[in-house]
Amino acid sequence: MSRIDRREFLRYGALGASSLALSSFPFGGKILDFCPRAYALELTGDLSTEEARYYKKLEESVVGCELCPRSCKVADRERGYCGVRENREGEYFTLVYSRPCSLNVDPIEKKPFFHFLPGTTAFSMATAGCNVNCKFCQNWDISQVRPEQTRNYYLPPKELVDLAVRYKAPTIAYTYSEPIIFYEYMYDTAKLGHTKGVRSVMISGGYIKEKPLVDLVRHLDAVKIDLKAFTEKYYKEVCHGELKPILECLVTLKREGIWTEIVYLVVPTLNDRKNEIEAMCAWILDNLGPDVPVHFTRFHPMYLLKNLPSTPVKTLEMARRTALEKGLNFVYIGNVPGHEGENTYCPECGKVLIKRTGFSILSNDVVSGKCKHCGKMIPGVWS
Amino acid sequence: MRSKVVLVRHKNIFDSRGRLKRPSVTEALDAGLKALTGDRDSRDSLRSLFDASGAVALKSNCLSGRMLSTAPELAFSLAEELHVIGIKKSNVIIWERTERELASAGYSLNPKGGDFRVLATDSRGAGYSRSLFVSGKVGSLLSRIMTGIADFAINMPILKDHNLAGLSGGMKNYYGAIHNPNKFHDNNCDPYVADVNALPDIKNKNRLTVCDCTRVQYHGGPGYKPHWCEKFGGLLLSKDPVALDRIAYNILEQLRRKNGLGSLKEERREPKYIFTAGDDEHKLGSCSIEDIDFVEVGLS
Ligand code: SF4
Repeated sequence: MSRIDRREFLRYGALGASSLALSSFPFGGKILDFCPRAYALELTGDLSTEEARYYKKLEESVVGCELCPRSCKVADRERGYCGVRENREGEYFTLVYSRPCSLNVDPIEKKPFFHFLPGTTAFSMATAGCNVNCKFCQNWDISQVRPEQTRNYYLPPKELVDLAVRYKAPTIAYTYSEPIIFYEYMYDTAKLGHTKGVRSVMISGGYIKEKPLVDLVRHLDAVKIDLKAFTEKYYKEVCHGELKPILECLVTLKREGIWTEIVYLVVPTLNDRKNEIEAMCAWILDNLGPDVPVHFTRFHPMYLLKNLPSTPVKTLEMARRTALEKGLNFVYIGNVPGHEGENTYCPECGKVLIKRTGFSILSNDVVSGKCKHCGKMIPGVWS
Repeated sequence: MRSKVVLVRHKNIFDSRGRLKRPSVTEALDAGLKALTGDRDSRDSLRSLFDASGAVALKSNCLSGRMLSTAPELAFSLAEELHVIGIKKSNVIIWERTERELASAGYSLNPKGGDFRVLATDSRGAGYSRSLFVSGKVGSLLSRIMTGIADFAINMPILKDHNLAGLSGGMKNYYGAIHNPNKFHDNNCDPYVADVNALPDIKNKNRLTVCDCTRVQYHGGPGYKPHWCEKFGGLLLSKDPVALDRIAYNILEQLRRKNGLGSLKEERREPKYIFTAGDDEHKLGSCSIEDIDFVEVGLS
């Protein structure tokens, strides 16, 4: 069993905190060095046996998962698409409850959230697994593997919340892979966190059914959705997913009144056409309003998309310009440190409100949720 | 080129308590190998396929426990035959995805050697490749047993119904060699099964398929459902993985018909991947019955 004991955890944790400037915490999917060969054996049998939520029992021991729109029908001994939910004799289990493989203390800007407690940290965690398979995934070594293939820690919700408190992180971020697939763990942690003053944010692709989403957001404080493209073709061919449920998810989030930001990874030749971006911005304006922040982020060759170049900065600038022209108020450029598109500008007076470079805040002129210069209310969660 | 598939059925392969009789299993295996290669001695059949200096990996299928997994009696019979032709015992590797699955099917683990090796991808020292292998729509890490340990491979699946793939036989068994099989069950596993089998370490190393059809589950798979499982008493053998699955498909459909079930096609579970594997893009073998010499051998 590879469960790290608490003393060891805190010893490493202390190291992590002391090197926070490097954003390093010496264990986690990336930081722990993914190595299925070394870890596979140690972890066998150490998976969670927490019963999954949102499934129904079908005939002949088959279960139907109702957590995400993939609606997997899973036979006995098999797993759903995400690889972390298993049918055992007609009952469905999550294998990753309390089993994170990645832990880190990150700036909240790294998620990215630009209108949510800027300049604070988020205790960030993930388990193995994902319910889509994006060809550009930068965390595929945890998202596209089974939990036996990552080094997992035993960290129940209470201990996770305690750790966030210990590291003075006001927020827990469920991130890196796809939090929807560790729904039960996230839900229980977020709910418990609220009783201890710790907030929770989900960084997600938004591929979730409405009922579990509505139940969950009562315990969340913000959500970031990766809107990966604005065509079904892209979702099908590049992500093995669907666009429609993501749009429905965004509308539900709006209706539920939870703070939401959108990231759009601009991939050269695949989703970088101006008309597609225009159509997406028009949809956002109509359905979510002008104040939802949209981050156009830069793609770098990765995983199964190594044949494409990094996104030219001018393409990102075109996307940002297009969104601003369409009427969106808060449009950012991501993964280009030092670019002016990282800053927040007041939509009323045009002054720089929050000046950023990379994940650092250089100045912040949002005071009590308002522009310091003209008094305009700036949407977001500021305190 | 024509492909050959051999079906050996042995009327006396189970004892009175329903357990496999090892001598009868060996007899069926020998008969099948001889019929497949045309040799008079099954050892010559194996010599024609394997170099005695190489390591041979026998991929079992142990997902469904003792009653519906590659029988240890069969795997060890074949292992003995490989040893007889000069392959070192420690170079004969019976393997599966996890040690837990092997144990549940009645195998005693022996990852280190000394005798025939029985190990899993999750055994210490095995694991998955560090880099991705890409084939068609599949991008996966591959078991190091296939990439780093084996020079040759023998696929030793069982024949069973599969709720998503339609049929789980030879080619589907290599889902157990990749780290992310759960990603490739859409569209009845088409074209993913074909793409997985086109990975060079599988395509080039797999020389033989010996499908354990002693028990065949014709419905309700992949988990074991005794009421849909027939004591078929057979082995299917072929050098052509596509042709073997094509014949296996016919057998499964015959059993389904005999037991009053609709066809896989009617249930929208037709194993289309078999035909994809035989198409011009994949060229993994013959998917057309007209191109397959099907030989039946009866033993009693
Ligand atoms: S959460 Fe996992 S098992 Fe459930 S429907 Fe989605 S991919 Fe399938």
